[in-house]
Amino acid sequence: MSDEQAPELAARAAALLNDAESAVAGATDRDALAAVRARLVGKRGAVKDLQRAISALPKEARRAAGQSVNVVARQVQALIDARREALEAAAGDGPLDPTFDPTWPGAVSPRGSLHPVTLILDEIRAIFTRLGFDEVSGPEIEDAWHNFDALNIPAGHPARERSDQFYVEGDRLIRSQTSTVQIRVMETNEPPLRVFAPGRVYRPETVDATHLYAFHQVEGLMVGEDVTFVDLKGCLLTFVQSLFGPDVEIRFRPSYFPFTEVSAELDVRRADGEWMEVLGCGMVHPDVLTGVGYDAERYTGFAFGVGLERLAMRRWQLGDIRLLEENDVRFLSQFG
Amino acid sequence: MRISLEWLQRYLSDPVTVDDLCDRVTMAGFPVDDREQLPNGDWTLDVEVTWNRPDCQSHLGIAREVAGLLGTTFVEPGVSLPELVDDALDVVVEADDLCPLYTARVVRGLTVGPSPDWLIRVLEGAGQRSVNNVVDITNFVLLECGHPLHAFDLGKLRGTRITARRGAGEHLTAIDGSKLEIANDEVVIADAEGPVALGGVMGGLDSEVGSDTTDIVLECALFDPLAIRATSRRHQLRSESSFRFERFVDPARAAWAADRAAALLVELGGATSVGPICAAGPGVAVHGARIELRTARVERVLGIPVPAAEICEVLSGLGLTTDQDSTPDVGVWRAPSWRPDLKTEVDLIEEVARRIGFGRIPVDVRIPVRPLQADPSRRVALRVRDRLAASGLRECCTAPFVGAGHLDIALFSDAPALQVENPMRADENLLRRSLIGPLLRVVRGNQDRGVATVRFFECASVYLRGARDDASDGATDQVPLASGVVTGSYPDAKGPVERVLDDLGVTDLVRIERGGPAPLRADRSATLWIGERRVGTIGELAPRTREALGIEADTAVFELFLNEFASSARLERPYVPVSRYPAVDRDLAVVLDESVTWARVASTVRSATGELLTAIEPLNVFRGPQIGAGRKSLALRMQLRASDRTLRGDEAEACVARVVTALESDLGGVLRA
Repeated sequence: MSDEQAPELAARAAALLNDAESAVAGATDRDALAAVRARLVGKRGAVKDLQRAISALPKEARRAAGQSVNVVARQVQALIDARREALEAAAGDGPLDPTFDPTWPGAVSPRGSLHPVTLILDEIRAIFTRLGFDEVSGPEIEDAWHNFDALNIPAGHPARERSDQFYVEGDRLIRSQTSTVQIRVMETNEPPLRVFAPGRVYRPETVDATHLYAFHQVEGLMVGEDVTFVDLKGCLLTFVQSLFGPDVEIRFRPSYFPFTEVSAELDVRRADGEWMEVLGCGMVHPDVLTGVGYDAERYTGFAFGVGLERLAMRRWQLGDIRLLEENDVRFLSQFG
Repeated sequence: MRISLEWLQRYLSDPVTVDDLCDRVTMAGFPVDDREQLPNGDWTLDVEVTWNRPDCQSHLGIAREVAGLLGTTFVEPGVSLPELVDDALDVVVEADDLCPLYTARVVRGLTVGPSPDWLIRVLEGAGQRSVNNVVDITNFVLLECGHPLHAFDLGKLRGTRITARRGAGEHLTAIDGSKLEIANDEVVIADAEGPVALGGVMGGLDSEVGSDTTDIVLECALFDPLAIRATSRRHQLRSESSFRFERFVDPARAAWAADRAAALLVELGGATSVGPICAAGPGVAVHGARIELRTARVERVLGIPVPAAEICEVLSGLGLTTDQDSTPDVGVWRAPSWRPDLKTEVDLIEEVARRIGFGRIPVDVRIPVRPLQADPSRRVALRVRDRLAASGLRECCTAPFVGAGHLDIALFSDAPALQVENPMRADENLLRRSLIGPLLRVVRGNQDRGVATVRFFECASVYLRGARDDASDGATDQVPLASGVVTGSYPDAKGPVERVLDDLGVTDLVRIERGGPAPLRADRSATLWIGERRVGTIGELAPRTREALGIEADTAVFELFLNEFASSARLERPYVPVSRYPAVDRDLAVVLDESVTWARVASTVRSATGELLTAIEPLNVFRGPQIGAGRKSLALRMQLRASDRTLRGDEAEACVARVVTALESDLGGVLRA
């Protein structure tokens, strides 16, 4: 008998406790637990083996070893007792189900979903509602006055050609921009005004990975006595920060639209460092204000238009805009 | 517009880098869509030029625009011509409106050959392939100053008179080989015997400059923009010339362009004699609007003050000239000939904003708050949309065009669909009258991709001819619908509709009557009414339509007319206190005629039980010989509860007895033991 036997005994005791924990937990009925109990604390059980081993230790080590083995023995007994109580309690619920698979799919009612363009629109709606803009809408079948003349797009302008504009019977057209709603709102309301108008627009574009011929825009308009480019920047910065996060990097770049002057594009810096065009905007052209009967000396305003499909493509990294019109269930089911 | 960096550099006093150039051009309002370094070291930039800035369809225009922004000075090239020889041509314009100015000059003694390297290189940078020195020089001047030129081989022209006149249906083979018939609203350039060019668009093959050409006629003209655009579209011919003529060509540049080309023909083409510019036509007024700019107005639009001195510097830098009438409060300006877009005060304010940079304008939001104004019909539409998604339907977004045939479904109006006059595809020439057609197309698409069971909805507008009340003028109106298509039978479509009606608080207002329009099965469809207004329809798709569309599974649809719910919807409903007392269930089976609907049974039970009835549901229906032909046995369960006490057994039995009596007397029912 060497002196090293005392630590060895402590290690055996710890291993026994480990073994007991898994063996007891694995006993799923009373018979199994009885077998485990016999193996651990029966007359020929593992605990008895340990206790017998104590007597082989040097006399001065026996007291300490005996105490630690007894602690383990009590813990093992407690495990067995707790398990027995649990099994007896469960026994009242009938036989246990050995076929139960907790990973089996749950029972659910069919899940519906909203289209990604709708999800983006809801976000924009929330943002502009917070900014105090009222939601308005206008007809999709329009006349040339609202789609062109009132927007400073004169007869003969290429945008009016049949290659760029859908026409329907009866000298009407399907609007190519939601800016038509600006005109309709101003015709029937006096300033000050703050409105946004979501809607669908149509252009005879050849459909490809970045073009559809029916797509969605949100138009915005604010007119008042002291609305300036400062307000335009403030509102639209608030908008893109709300949509893309407060750290979004943006720039306003000069551009051209017949119905605004000063005109600009708002670009957002993408993750890859490139600038991406997000919306067109500008100060409402005085001719447009005059055309609806406003005093263009007294009132100024800004307007903007943003395409929703493009925003959805950026948000979800969609490589092909046609996904938004295919309505493939495997696509739709990925959205809320 | 393709810009060569090397070329542009010729008009800038100091060297610029491609990065600086791209940045400044973009921030001046001309986004650089693409840039590429060529093997010869030059950079080629694809610059987007907006419709209002035709002056920037040239290297000189872009250089003038960005020279100041790049910290350099714009250097306009000088032109020196040899003494002109008396070598006149007879030039006539017979179509003043289409061709207000036609000029031509004779240049002789040319040696046609390759262009010098620098010319080949800069043309390549601008996206042009070198042809020979004479053609290259006309292209160079066009891309330099924006004024198109054309060279005819004088030796191939017949006679000495050149006429610009309306076409008369004659034929011309253009340089690109296309055979053209020239119409009356197009310009023919003709020699003594016939057409030699389609004016402003393309020259004729027969008078093309070739390797043996020695003498040429150099054309420098102005054409009507709309006529050129129509001509170019009609013949599907687009050239650098037509592209510019259909926008704007600066009339003040015409003589310069003709001289510039002649000087280069002498310098690079060995020309020995240059004739005078021979002109005809009424001419075109040179642009140059007088514009007053109030210094205070700049701040009213931009929101920040810009000092008069700075405004002056900006506008002068863009080529505007100021008038002696100017004061610090009101500047009086004259726009340069190349800026037809500058017409009114706000045009100048935009120039100021553009040149000082939008970055200098601060960001501020001064938005007054006020109460929200919710539009009831919009709230209804949003509620319906959310409820359909919550009922397990997936929202789709479909295009509004259909072709005649099975997809041109109309559930609410028999009036024919509106025609699209210029559809993208022949089978998309109608505006949809129902959302069901496009949704069925989606069902078929998913079936083809292996998805057999679907539940779709869409909320969108359709267009119904004369749906508006004041439609006497044949007006059309747009009608918002909420529609669904589900795999399954009638109840699968009715379930989501019930949820919607319940959520709108209109369940008790809606009457459901058997029968709906084609292409629904006449026997397994229904129309929904509120009062005398049709508000929706539900039904199973007729097998013939389903087969025609190639849809394999049984399919049911619904369509709701959202406008009809705007006034009746009760989105806010009062809270009804919950009873603290227990309920009792009572089941009954009653034999009824087939024609008695569940709605009638439920309504009869409801009036017989009064306030005690808290729920009623059908348990099953049984038909068979023991019941009798044309009759059915219906089992139902009622839940009875008093709101203020525990319902006693004898009260419940009395209530059931009243129900039985009512079913027998009102519906001809017979209680089944």
